[in-house]
Amino acid sequence: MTVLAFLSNGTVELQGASGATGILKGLAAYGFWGYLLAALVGFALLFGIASALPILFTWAERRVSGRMQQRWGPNRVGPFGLIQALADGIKLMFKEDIIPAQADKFLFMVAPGIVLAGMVSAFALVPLSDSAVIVDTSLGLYLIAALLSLEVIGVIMAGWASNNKWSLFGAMREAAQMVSYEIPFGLCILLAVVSYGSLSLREMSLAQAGGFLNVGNWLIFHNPFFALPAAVVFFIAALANTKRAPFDLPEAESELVSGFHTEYSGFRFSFFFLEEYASMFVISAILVSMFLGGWNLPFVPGSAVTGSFGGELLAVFTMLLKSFVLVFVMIWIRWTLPRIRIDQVMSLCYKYLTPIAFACLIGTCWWELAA
Amino acid sequence: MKRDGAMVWLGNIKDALWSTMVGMGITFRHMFKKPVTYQYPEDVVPVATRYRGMHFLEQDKCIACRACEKACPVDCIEIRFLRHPGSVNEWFEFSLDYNKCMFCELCCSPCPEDCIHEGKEFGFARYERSELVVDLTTWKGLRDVDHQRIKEAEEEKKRKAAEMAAKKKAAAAKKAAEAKKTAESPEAKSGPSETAKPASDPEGSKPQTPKPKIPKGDAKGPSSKKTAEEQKPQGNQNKGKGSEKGKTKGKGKKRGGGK
Amino acid sequence: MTTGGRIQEHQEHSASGEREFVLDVRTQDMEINMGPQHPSTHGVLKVVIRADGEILTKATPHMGYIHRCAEKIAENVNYDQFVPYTDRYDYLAAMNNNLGYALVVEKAADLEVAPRATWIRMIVAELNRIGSHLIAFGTYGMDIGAFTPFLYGFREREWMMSLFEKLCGARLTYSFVFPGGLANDVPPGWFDELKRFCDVFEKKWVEYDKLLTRNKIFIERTKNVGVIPAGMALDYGLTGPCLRGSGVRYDLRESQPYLFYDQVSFDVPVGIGEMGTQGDCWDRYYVRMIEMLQSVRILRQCIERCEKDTTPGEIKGNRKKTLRVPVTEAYAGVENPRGELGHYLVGDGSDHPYRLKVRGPSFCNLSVLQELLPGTMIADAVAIIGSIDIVLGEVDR
Repeated sequence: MTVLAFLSNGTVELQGASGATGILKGLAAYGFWGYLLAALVGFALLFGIASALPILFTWAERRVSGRMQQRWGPNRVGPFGLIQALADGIKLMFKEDIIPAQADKFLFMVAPGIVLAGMVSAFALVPLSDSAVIVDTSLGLYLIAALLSLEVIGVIMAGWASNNKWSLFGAMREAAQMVSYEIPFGLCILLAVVSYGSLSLREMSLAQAGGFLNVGNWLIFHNPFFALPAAVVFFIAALANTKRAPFDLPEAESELVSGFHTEYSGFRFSFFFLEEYASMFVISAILVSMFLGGWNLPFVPGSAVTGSFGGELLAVFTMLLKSFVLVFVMIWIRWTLPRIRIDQVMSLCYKYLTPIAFACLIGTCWWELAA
Repeated sequence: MKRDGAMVWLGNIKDALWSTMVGMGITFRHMFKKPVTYQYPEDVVPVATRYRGMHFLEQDKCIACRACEKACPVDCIEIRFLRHPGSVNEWFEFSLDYNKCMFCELCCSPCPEDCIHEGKEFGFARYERSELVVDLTTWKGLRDVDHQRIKEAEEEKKRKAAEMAAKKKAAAAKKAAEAKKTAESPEAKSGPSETAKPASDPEGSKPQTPKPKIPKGDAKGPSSKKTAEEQKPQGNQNKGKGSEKGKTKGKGKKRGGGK
Repeated sequence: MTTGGRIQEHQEHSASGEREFVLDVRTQDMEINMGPQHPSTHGVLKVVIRADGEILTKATPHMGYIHRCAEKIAENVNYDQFVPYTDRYDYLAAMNNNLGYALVVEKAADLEVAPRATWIRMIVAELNRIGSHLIAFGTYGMDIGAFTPFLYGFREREWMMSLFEKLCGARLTYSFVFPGGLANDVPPGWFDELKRFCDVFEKKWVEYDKLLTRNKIFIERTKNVGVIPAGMALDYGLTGPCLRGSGVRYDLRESQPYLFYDQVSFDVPVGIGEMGTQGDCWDRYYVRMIEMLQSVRILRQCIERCEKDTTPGEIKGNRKKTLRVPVTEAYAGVENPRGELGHYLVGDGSDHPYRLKVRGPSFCNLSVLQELLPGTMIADAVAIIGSIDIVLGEVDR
């Protein structure tokens, strides 16, 4: 995956020489071994972030759901049960890795890796501040969309290789759902691209600085009639893309037992688990970068959060905070809504989200022309 | 509220968004309410006064009438005891098999002495099934008090018997005297001897009925505590003893039923 | 028979002698065992479904996994001893089961019950109906995919259970209503707490209504799904909310009043197809929801009458300690949360039944499943099974 990220790294210009990018770029100057080292460091960094955030989110999910249901949630391991997820992760690692006798062994073993790989590499493309971005390419959004949809292949592989009818159902649902929701998802990305004239998430964030109270240039305020509905559509499509409730059909517990990961256990299961929560963050970060002003804070001028170390730190903090709020909303929705049926998932996509996204896209074109 | 055409489409969007918002509002409000669950091992879970949990037996009240044993729908109560004079029971076992018990409280209502109750303990986690066969007795065999009472009762009985005998003798003597007085025939001689016999009977027969069992009880009595304790964890090994148990139980049941 | 998805080549010769290829992409149905270990079959129900993609073509319910010979046991234990077994067929409505059994024994043995006992019986039956419907509501939400209403339902049910715990000492299998009377009288202060429960419950009900009943996704998932027309409902002998959801106004409490149900006023809700078709899943679900409110209404009246008309402690009827039923036969049906629970008792003069037949409402309601499921989707199957609201303990007995 890192190779993939670095392939793109080689082909595009690199922005800014500070932060992780700078170090990696510096290393890459030492030829092949330097490149390899850079790749390994980059991988370790990415994997660290990509698995640290899910630990936080699983805790948040369980804690929030607990409080919403008037339970306590995890409160045994660590303060407020904060490292419960870590304990669970360790438990999962030491569990027996069961491969069903009739399963397609190779695909069964590879599938979780593919699922996680796409997600971890997508992490590399998410800008947390002007310089805190591992890979910044001019094709950022495009690449992220591509990497996010890599997941579906892994899920279908998992469902097929498990040789379980429920898993197969889960995989088919996932395929249908993901492919369908790529459309409104892509249309909303197009809308952002039309607005900014760039595919780079970093540039989008930069472009949203300034304006009234430093929020006026956020896309949803800059273009409220079209970008706001588009943001909602994007969020719904993102829910579907990350298989979050109410679109958790591929793993619908009450229907398909556990869907595509019914047969998975131990470490391989934890890969699917990590992927779900990591993708929640990635998608939220994209939404924040595209519509919610990126790392820009209200009342703080855009120039204050770029350039200086303190400003960058504030930017990272802002970005994480905004993303976490969206992740919280995802969790909140999950513990409120029932699950949609598969045909309704399709009709929601094709009858509601896609036309709305189209209308918003056209409206935005007009808006940008007029502005 | 009938909609048609595009209004259906817009209405669906409105309904979906609105109902989602309402639902989310409810869940959000609940986030700030106090959780209603108990942190089980730490928190003390309140238990009602009438709670039907693990039984407890007021053994000194119990008269071993076996009413509870008979009332139990699943036959989970097993009572083994030996009746001694002076309504003293030598206890071997009052065990409840919590593998079977369904806490219906049917054993408590027929109790004439109101001595078996369902308590408040509800934790029945054990490592082995055999540990769920719980003996409710607080003591086994005979206590000093019981020995005392038996002795007293026996003495009392002896005394009474002696009194009776004395009375009878006196009566017999009276009779004999009367008989002597009235008529000096050989018939009168057999009279006192016959009447004397029933008089001595209660003395002899009462210890006689438990007598066949006393040796058993004596054999077990002192060692019964140990054997019972040894039996408990070793579920499989007490098969041989189980049959013995069964025999005694069978006998006991017959006796109980006879009453 | 073609195998799934394989393209078969049929070689045919047309009149002109050219070869024609017919691509046969017909697919084969997939046969799946839904259950007995499935999260949403409410226990150990096994439904063998044939699915063409997501759409079911055939469904066969299999049952009997937890058959415990309740009827046979009844022939071997005496009349009182069978009461704990009645708890266990519909374990979510143990009071109602106790009541049904008690009524049939009383009818056969011609026992009289004290008025206070009768009022308390009504109270516990209605309270348990609320508890049972709360489970139905919660698990139905869970089947549809909403987890939170389930726990909200359990929160109120917890209170209901602790009320029963105060009353009889047990939280699930109550063994409270005995032939000829009750196990206990009401403890002091119990009615006050029950009144408080009623007040709070009505508020919480509104919350459920907003959270789940009126949720757009929930409505979409349940409307027009699993429609049972009134005729079909009657044909299959459905009772309870399943029958009333189809618009048939039949409630034993109203049509053949037992206890003092003729002295209290309540409505019998029927499905009217408010969201879709009459007799769909939503109607059945909503009938249950409304019934909870009606139960609260009955509870209030019963408490009032019980406190006003009777004095505490007077719960003893005219039964003797050992209950013997003469050589007779009797049937008594009660309106359980899931429908008509019927007991048919044949007495032979001894202290145990000669024969006891139990008509479990869940069992009869389940029979409609194989007619409802074909043509629906897998997710609908879950919704339909949930809306019929079966308790497998009662189906298998």
